[in-house]
Order: sequence, then structure tokens, then C-alpha cells
Amino acid sequence: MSDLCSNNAHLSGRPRSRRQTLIGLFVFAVLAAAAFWICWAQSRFNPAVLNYLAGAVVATQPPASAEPFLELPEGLSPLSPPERFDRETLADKINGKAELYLSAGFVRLHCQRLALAGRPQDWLEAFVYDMGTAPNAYAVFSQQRRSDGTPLGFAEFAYRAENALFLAHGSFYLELIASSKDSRLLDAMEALARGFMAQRPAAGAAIAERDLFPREGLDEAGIRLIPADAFGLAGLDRVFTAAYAADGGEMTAFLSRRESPREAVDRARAYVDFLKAYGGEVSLADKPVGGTSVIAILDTYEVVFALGPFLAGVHEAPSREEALALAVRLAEKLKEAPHGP
Amino acid sequence: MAPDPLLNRREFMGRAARAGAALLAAGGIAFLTHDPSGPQPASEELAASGLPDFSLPEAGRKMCIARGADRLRTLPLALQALGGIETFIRKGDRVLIKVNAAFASPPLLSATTHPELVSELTRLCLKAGAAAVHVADNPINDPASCFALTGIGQAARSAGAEVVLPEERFFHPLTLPDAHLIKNWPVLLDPLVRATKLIGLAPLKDHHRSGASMVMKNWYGLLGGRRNIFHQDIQTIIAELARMVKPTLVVLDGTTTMVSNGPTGGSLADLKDTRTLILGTDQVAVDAYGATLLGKTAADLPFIAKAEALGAGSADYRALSPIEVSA
Amino acid sequence: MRIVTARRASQVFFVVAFLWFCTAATLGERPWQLRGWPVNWLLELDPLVGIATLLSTRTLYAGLFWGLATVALTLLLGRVFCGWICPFGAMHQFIGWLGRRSRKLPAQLEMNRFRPAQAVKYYVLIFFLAACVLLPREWMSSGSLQIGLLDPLPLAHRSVNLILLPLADRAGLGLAPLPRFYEGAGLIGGVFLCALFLNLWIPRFYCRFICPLGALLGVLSRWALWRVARTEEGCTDCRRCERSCEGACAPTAKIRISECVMCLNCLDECRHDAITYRTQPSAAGEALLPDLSRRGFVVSAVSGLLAAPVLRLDGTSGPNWYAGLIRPPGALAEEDFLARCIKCGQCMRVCPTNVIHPAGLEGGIEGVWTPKLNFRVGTSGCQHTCIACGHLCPTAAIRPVSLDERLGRSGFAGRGPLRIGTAFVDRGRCLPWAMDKPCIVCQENCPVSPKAIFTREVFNPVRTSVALTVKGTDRGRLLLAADALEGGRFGTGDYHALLPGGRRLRIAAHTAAELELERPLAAAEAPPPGSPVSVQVRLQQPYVDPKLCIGCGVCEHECPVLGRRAIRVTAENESRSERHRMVL
Repeated sequence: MSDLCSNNAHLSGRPRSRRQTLIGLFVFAVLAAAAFWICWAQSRFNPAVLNYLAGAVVATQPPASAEPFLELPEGLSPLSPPERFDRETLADKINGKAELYLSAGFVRLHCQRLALAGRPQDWLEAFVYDMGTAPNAYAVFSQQRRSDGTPLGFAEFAYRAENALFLAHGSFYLELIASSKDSRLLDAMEALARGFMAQRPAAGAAIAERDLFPREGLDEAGIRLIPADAFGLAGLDRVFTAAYAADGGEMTAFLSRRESPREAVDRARAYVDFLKAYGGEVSLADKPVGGTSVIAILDTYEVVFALGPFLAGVHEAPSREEALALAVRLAEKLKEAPHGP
Repeated sequence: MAPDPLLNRREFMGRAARAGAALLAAGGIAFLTHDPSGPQPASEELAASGLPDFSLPEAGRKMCIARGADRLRTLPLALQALGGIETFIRKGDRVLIKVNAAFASPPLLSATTHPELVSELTRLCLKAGAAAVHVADNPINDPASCFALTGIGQAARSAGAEVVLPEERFFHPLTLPDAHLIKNWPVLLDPLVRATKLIGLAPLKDHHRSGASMVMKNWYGLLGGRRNIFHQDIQTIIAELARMVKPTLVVLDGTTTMVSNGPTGGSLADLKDTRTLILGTDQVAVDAYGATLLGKTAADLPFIAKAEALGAGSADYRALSPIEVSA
Repeated sequence: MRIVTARRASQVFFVVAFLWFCTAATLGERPWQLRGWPVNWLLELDPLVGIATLLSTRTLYAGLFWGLATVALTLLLGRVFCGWICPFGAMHQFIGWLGRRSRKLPAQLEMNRFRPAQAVKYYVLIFFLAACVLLPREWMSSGSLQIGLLDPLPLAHRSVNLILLPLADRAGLGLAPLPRFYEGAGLIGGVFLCALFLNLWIPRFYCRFICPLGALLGVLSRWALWRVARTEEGCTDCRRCERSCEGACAPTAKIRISECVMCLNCLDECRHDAITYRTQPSAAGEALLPDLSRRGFVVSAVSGLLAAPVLRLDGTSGPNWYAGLIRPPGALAEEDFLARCIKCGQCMRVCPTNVIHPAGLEGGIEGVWTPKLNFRVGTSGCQHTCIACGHLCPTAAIRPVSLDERLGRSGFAGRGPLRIGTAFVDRGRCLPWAMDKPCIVCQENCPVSPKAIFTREVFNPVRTSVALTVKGTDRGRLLLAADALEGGRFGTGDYHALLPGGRRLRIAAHTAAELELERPLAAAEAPPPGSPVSVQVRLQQPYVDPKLCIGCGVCEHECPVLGRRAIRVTAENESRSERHRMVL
């Protein structure tokens, strides 16, 4: 104390620089400690940053379905809570595409974003469409079939694209879309799809109509089911189509199992009338069956016939001969098919 | 000033002590007031959850329909029929009369409670031994002019009652459990909690928005804040009000009923001399009967069914065997 | 090492830290982004922020506890904060040094002499502290925190956040993806530059005459254990010590302790070892407290106490509230907000979409430079999954809300999402309402689900230059009698042909006299030649559902009517204020 008070021990002169140096060093130490603390603090993220990194995904509905609709394989964890949409709200999620599903008997959509555990930047969104029936699920699956897909071995109606996986299983249509082409993510999606199938042993019904198309020249992956309004005619529903090569392009064989032979005949007539109304020229043929109509319309040829409970024919063929040839082959296969209900 | 070591040391010690004390004080204040979490979202639990229950179970569920053109006679007559004012008001009670003073409207237009009823009821309460009678409402227009121009203020004071003008500090937030609308809403609580008996005194009126304004709608005058917002769901708010307020007695004045252009009316052509005064302990039943005087049924007034569903009373007034008297 | 070297190092450290904190206040995890950097540390060290909010809210919020450290430092050592820590002070000191280094000693002494006007900052302090005082609500509306206007830390943060960093971004620093704009930048920049330039006249002008924090610390230095003092012997009155005196505290004369900013330049300059830092008072005497007149004290105190109540007589904190003032989500109700906001601009800086701006007079005088939302500027509306502003506000004027509270889910499901206002469609300007032009940009962009904007379909007739009549049909296409249609206009998918009999078909393509419809016309459907046909435009007219709208402003931001937007958000129904409720 007396030191501080006496005249000599003040901060001045040579002795000053020692004291000043000491104080200066002390100040540096304090600044260094402050710098350390600042650098340490930056690793404890502000909650706003954590929220920002979590991708800030929104769950806008109350989790009414608390049951998880997807069993997650190891390595995938939820990035956002599950969402659920019904016929009224589907457009909120997928906008204009909703029409495709709604007209195919859509019941409910469950979706959720998932991410690779510990790597939130590698994420995928899983869409599980409950389409009500297996044909409906097949319909939306086949109609959106991308031509560049790789078939997956473990399921009949499944294929994989560069960053996505599509699967129709029973009455469900599953779409898994990844945010990147990371192979770990794609493997995780496959595991997810397998798990999904394992959880729900299929309701069995293979899509029988697929086997009714003539095999030669058939692109299996290109078989589509149009659930409604096929070829622009209202009332023409549940039509299967398959593409075949033709000289000068492509043509489509189509068939639809109706309730009864009578209905098949009625439908055939309705379709022919429809084509006539748009300027088609109709001529009759007795191949492949009696009462077959051949229509020339807008530079293409259509063949329409009814065989048993089936309405069938060829659509948009480049020439009359080819159309009839395909129709004959189609009729052969149909004759073999079980005609019962 | 030549430095004196002793003085300096003392001075230093003094300064050090003060600095230390200041530091302690600052530290103490900082610790005591430290709030790590900051302001919280408005909590609903802070609101009161209900009003006192002013109903008298021992008085039973009763109703009286008094016919006559003179309120000064029909009121005492009806009270007599229900067992006399003493059934409801005891010695020492502090009575609060909730009137309808919503508009600065003259008594002639029957848009507000008639002053004669106020003075007569006050007189009867004081005669029964009440320690004090207060008259209250939260009017739509300016309170002072409402109480003055309706004649209610003068009538109350001349009979010995005191008018309670609504002040901001009398209102407190209230949340009715399981209610949709009355959540954290300012209600005129102070005069109510100071009272021991509550009597509702309402004129019988048509209402453009709700269909009718009778004793249940009368409690709207206990709401504060920007209560206009409840007009968006008026049937529900009336029902919730009926659930919130459990009065000792209600009086529905159908002596001159406003049958059209309610609630403000404005023309004598809107009025009809129905010459009926209805008293009762069941506010839903009283309103159900009052509807008939307007030419309406309970079905025309959804709030009646809603209030019944919330347990505020019964719409089947006939089951109460209302006593009919004539003056 | 000289002590002033340590001081300079400390000043550099804190200026760098300050600039770093301002820069890092952007949302993200990269090293130069927010992460966990304690970007509010300097504001929290500022004891004036702590004391003022203590007076206006009766609490000391979270990190403001740091102010106690500065108070302790000042009580023991004097205004070390001013001389060693305050970055604004360091800036002033630097510019002041630039201004005086070429001058001769007499000019320098003149710049640094004590001026009685240095008492002004104490009156400023008293005024502001009095204005903060929160009286019981039943007496009158009070508690207006205005220290942010002149407190150096908020002022410096505001100036760097809103002026210097955006300028640096445009000059190439490129921190923000798009150039950031801030309303009222002119005034903010002007005040900042003015303060800096005044140092060329009198060094540390701001510190000496205006700074209320300096005034506060000056008062607290009263009992400092050590102070700058002139020794009893050795002084030759050469006055060299005063040529660099930052505080203008007259070290050779009766030293004014409350003005001394502890720069220790005097100590460093003195060649006779006559200035020292010691416990004994200066040989020439010392003045511990500033010379304030009682009259001045009373005037500042009373006008401060009356300021808020008088200002609020205009009803703006009641029925006359500012409906155009949209506050950030999580902001407190207006009176509570004004008791906490220090106008530091941190929220404006961190907002990822650049929609938070300093208010002008939209919130009254008390609201100047407080945050308000402007949806025309920025990259989007207020993103409804972002919670950044509240988690950065140093005083909780904007509460730190969780995402659950913001979205109204989990525990907050009963309350619903946080709303900052409601959008209103201006039917006189909206394209589908007023101009027969299809547009549903607002509905498409509405981020909530279900959407708060819904549309109703109407078909309005389109004016064509001549009335259209049918000539016939050809392969399903409708032929017109005259070349009546402008090329390409009606083929967008929004136009329909109304045929006689009421059938309406979408126009898929057309030429001047031929319409191709959504499907070929069947022979039976073809209208007879000579019959009239008209073109209609299908419009989806937007409506807002007030129960669902959260006021996020994305619709206003996206609206193509770029001047005065055809859908605008105002503050009705904002969650923070019960009184502003519009719907049940």
C-alpha cells in the first residue's frame, strides 16, 4: 500500500517501463483469454442456425397419424415430421399433378423427408400413395414410367432412375426422390423399398392383363394402364396399352376387360362412333373377329373389336396392314385368356 | 496540497469502501433482476377462470309471468309470487343490478332498462335489508351520458343505489374453461366480486344480429376490450356468457317490447305493448318464454339451445310451471 | 513495452472483434457466418443498455449481465472502457489523431482543452434515463427506451450493419447473395459520418460532448481506486501531456476524473515523469464529478420523465395505433417493445431475406430506427420457418421463439402460428380483379398449408375488335367469318370460346380466323354459320382467408404489380397484440 502511495513508486521513468510492461502483458493475457472464449463460443451454434440447418421443414398438419407409415432402415433418420394429404389437400403438395392421381382413385398420401443419419444434406423425400386398389397403383406407376429406368430385381413393378426409385406394390405406389445422386442415399432408398414391401405382403393380384399382350416386339416396361378417359373418350376406363414398333413409327395395342361381352360390344361401338364423329372413315373387316371395325382417321389407322369380355384393338398405327396384323396377334392371345369374371 | 500519507490512506480507504459498496450494490441488483429467459408468450393461466356463483339453489328453479301495464305493480307482484324478495335478498347483502344501459337512449324507446324497474327493485332490496345496492353496465356509448339519458342513473340514486361507471381498472382478463371465445378476455370483474347477489334487469328486444336481446344477451355488457369481434359468432358468445354468469335472479321486461329494428330501435313503431314482466331463476327458460313475445320460437334463436347445451339452464319453461299473475 | 502500446493493442482487438461480430451476423454455419459467434458481446458489455433496460423493464435480460463487468472495471479503474474497449471511441480517436498530427502544439492544445459544453452529455444521459423509467401502468404510459439513438455501441452496430457492410458487399466483399437495402440509410449514414468527421475539428468530439455511456462511466469513476495524477514535483508546465489528451480532462490543472478516458497518452508524453497513475489524488487537485447545474439537471430529468407519457397522449399506443407498422415475428406488444429495443440493427443484419428495415416515423418518434418489415425489398417475404431475429436480439425486444411456437404446433397448437399481420387484396389493382389478366402468383407462393389465399373462378368476356361470328367448322376447328383475332394472344390456355348454347371450350391455339379448341368439335356440336361466338378469359380471383393468413408477406413480395402491390400486408390480427385482433 505504501508503495503505491509514495512518490517514487509511480509509473514513471525507467522503473516505469517494467511496471508498464507487466501491466501490458497482463492486458495481453486478458485479451488472449477473451479471444479464446470467443473462438470456443462459436462452436455452440445459435438455435437460429440449428433451425436454419435443419432445412427448416414444415409439418403443417397435426400428426393425427402417429403411427409411422414407413419403417426406417438403419442409416436413415427423419428430417421432418410425416405429412398426410387426402383428396382435398393433395394439390397443396403436388400441385398440378394431383389430377393424375385423383382420377386414378387416389385415397391418401403419406410423405416424409428422411436423411442419412448424421448427414442432413443428403436427404430424400418418400411419397407413399395409397391408391385403393392394385390396378390403380399400377395405373399411376405405369403412366409415369420413365424410359431411362433400371429395373429392380426384387419387385415386378419397380425401377430405379439416377436419383429416384419408383415402386408399385399392392395398392400402394411408392416414390422415393433423392436430393442428390449419392450412392449411399440410393442404397438406403432400396433398403427402404424392400422394407416397405416386406411390411406389406402384397395383396397378391398380379396384373393379369399384362400377360395378354403378344410377346414379340413388346416393351414390357411400356405397358400402361389408363384408369379413365382413354384416348379422349369419357367412359373408356381401365384400358391397358402396350407399344409396338411399326414401319414408319410406333403403334399401340390396347385391351380392356369389361364386365360382360355385351358391355364390350357396347364400348366398342361407342369408341367407333366417337372416332367417326371426328372424321374417321369406318370400314368393316372380319379379321380378327367378325364385326371388327377399321377406322382411318387423321392419317392413322385404328382397329376396334370385342372378343368375349374384352374390348381390344390397335391405336394409331401407320398402316392398315400393320394394324390388322397386330390385331390378329392380339386376338390370338385373348382367345387363350380365361373369359370368366 | 502537500501530500499527507495518513490523510491519503484514509481517503483511499474511504474511496475503496465506497467503490466496494457500489460494486456490491450493482452486483446485488444484477443478480436479483437477472432474467435469463426473457419475456414469455402470453400465458392464459394468469386469467381468472370464472365469476362467483350468485345463484341460490334453495330458491329452486322458478319462473313468474306477470301481466300488467304498470311496472311498479307487476314487479312486486311477481316477486311475491316467487316467494317474496326475502327469498333472494337477505340482510347485509350487497346487491349488484346489471342493467342494460348500452345506448344513450330515452326510456321511451325501450332500448334500455326502464328506470322505474331500477328504482323499484332497489327500493325492495333495501327494504329486505340489503347493505348496499349497486347498478352497473359497460355501455357501448359514453357511460356517463348513457346512465344519464336513460334515466337509470337518476332512478338508481333517488332510490338509494349507487351507479358504478366502468373504469379501465375494473376489468381483468378471464378465461372460461373449455370455452372457444371467452379466453383471456377483459371482463368487468371488480363490481361483481364485491357483490353477494346479482340480479339481471333486461328489456325484451329484437336484435338484428342474434335474433333477440334478452336476459342472456344482457351479460354482453360485462365484456370489455374490443368486444365487437364477438359479433362474428354471436350465438356462441351469448351461450358462453350464460355459462359464465350465474345470477340470483333475472328480470325480463316485456312491458313494452321492441319487436323490430333492434337493438337500437328508434321509432315508437318498433314497439309493441306486450304488458308482460317475466322473472325467474333460470335464464334460459326466461329467454325461451320471452322469445314467444317477439313472435319467435326457441328454434329461431340458436343461442337458446347452445346455452342449454352448455348447462346454463333449460329451454323448457313449461316444465318450471311458471306462475302467472295479473296486476 | 509502454502502456499505451497495450492500450492500442486492446483498441485494435476490440475494433476487429466488433467488425467481425457485425460481419458474422448472417445465418449459416460457415466460419464467417453466425455459427455460435457471440455477436452481441459488445452490446452486452455496454452497461448503459443493461441499466436502461433495467429501468424500463425491471429485469436484466440474459447476456446483459456482462454489463456488471464493465461497471466493476469502471468503479475500480475509471473509464477504461472508453479508452481501451469501446470500438466507436477507437474510431473517433483514430480520426482525431489523423486530424491533429500535423498540427503544432498550440493548435493541439486548443483542440484538447476542456470545454464546459462537455457537460452536455450528462444532461443527455439524465434525459434518456428518465425517459426509460417505467411507472406503474395505471398511472400513465411510460418506459420509452431511446438510449439506442446515441449510445455508442448500438449506434456503431447500426452504422456498420446497415451502411458499411452493405457498401463493402457491393464493393466486392460479397457476403450477401444479393445486395442488401435498408430504408433510411441516408440519415443513419449521415449521423455516422458526421460523428466521425467532427473529430477533425475536435478530437473525440462524440465522446466528449454527446456520449451518454461516457457520461455514465464518468459518474461511476468517482470512486476509482487509481487515477491519473500529476506528481508534486517535476512538472514544468510544458503542457505536452495535453497535446494528446483524449478526454480533454486537463491533466495539468485540476484534473477532471469524470472526463478522463484513461488513454494514458499524457503519461506517455510527459518527459519529466510528472504524470502518473496512482491512488493519491493529483497534486493539482481533481474534480470528481462534472459541473452540472441543478437547473440543468432538473430540466433534463423532468423532460425525460414526461417525454414518453406526453408523446403517447396521441393515442398511438392505444386506438390510434400504427397499422402499417409490421414488426418481426416474436416482437413484444408495442409498449413493451419500445421499452426494450436499442435500435442496434442486429435483427436487420441477420434477416436472411432482407425484409427487416429501420423504421422512419412509421412508428412515431419513439419508433425511429426500430425494426419494421418492408416486403417490397428483399429476396422473399418473412420466411415462416425462420426464427433468426429473436435469437439475435440482445434485449429480447424480439423474443427468441422456437420453431414450434412460430408454426403453432406441438405445445403451441392451441394458439396457432405466430402472425405478424394480414394480407389484403387490393381489388382495384389486382390483375385478375381489375385488369382481366390471369395471375395467381400470390396463391401459388403462399407458404402455409392449407393456403391462406384461395381463388374463385370467373369468366369475363374479352373485348375483340369486331364481334365474332362463325363461318363453319373444319376438322373440328372453328372458323370465323373475319380475321378478328390478334395472333397468339388467346392460345395461353386461359382463354375460352363461348359457343351458342352455352358450351364453353378452352382455346388451344388459333390464327386470325381459326380456333383450335381443347378437343375437336363433333359434327353435332358445330354451331351454325352466322351464329355469334365470344372469347372469354378464365380468371382465378384471389381471396385471403384471415384465419389462415400469417402476414408473412411472400404474396406481397411476389405480386407482379410492382409499384404499390396489389396485395399488401398490414398489422391487423398480429399475434403480439390482443387488441389488434380482427377475427375470432
